[in-house]
Amino acid sequence: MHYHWKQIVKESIGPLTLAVLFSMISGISLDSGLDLKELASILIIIPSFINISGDLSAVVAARISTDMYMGKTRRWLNISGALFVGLVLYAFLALVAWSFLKLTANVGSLVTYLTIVVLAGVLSLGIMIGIAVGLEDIGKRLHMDPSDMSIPLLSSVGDAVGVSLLIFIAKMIMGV
Amino acid sequence: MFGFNDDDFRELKEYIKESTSIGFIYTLAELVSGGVLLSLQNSLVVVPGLAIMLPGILDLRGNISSTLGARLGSALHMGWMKPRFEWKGDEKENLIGSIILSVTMNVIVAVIASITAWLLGIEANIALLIGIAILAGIMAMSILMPVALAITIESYKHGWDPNNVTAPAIATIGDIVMISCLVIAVKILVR
Repeated sequence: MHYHWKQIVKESIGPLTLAVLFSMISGISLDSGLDLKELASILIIIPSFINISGDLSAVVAARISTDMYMGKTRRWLNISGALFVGLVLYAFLALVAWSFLKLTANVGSLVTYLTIVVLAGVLSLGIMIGIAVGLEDIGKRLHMDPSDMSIPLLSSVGDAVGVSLLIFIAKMIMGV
Repeated sequence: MFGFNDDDFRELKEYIKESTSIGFIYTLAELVSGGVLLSLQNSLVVVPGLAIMLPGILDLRGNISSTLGARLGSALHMGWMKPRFEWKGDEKENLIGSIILSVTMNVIVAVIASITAWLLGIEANIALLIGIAILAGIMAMSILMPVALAITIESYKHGWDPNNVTAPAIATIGDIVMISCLVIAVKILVR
């Protein structure tokens, strides 16, 4: 036998607890958003919203790693591509979610909603890409594969940055 | 601009096309989880501390079942387990490990969320949060673990690499299952 349950539990409990501690930042942000006038319009997009910035920044990190091995430096190509895709996906998300909410509940104007989702989305994606690029430089200096370091870190930071920015901008624009 | 040549622009166009089309699909799939999350809206307001605990619980569900899928994928590739359901050997050890982790980590997330709530001056009922976390966690894992096992085994049988299939599939199904189980656990425990 190659796996033992005791070893699985022992090795996993530390990283999982660390991930839980990190998730408290998203939890606190979510809790602070409970007094939002239009809480439903924020709750419905949270899973997709954090996925977009997490996935796109992981793609940038992976592409930067591959470019490094191939001796190419096309940092701006990767960044501008991800930002453009992000812009399209956040607008798409806002449009679909708003249409659904319009059918089932009270929701404000499309322009306000679109502004909140796209602004918070592009900002959080920008921060995440900044972290991915920064980790690429650190990885290069330490002679490590940048994606080994950046992808796990990006996924845990991504949720916290995404939820916090979304609630903050929603509160700023919609008001409490 | 920025020293790009024609090849770079062609690659950029290709990248945007591929990422956008895949992005549309996962955005729509995750919107279903968002729709289920709406049914938890009232509970988040009524149960203090539940909102603080929610992201942690969702993360755990993904981490535990994705790592289970990854380990089973490695075991299949290495020939340590056969591609079928068996309560023995490496398969049994992995499932026991995931069950214990699931229960332990759900208690830990509820305790950490209660402490966080207390630090913020929110009066959370720690026993209630632990109860919700354990009940929802057990319900979700009893659905997600067989699903992770089935996806891993079936993808291996069809000649696909389970590592490429299990984690993304569990990520999408997992949120919907976990949020639904949370709604049921709150309904059972909060009257």
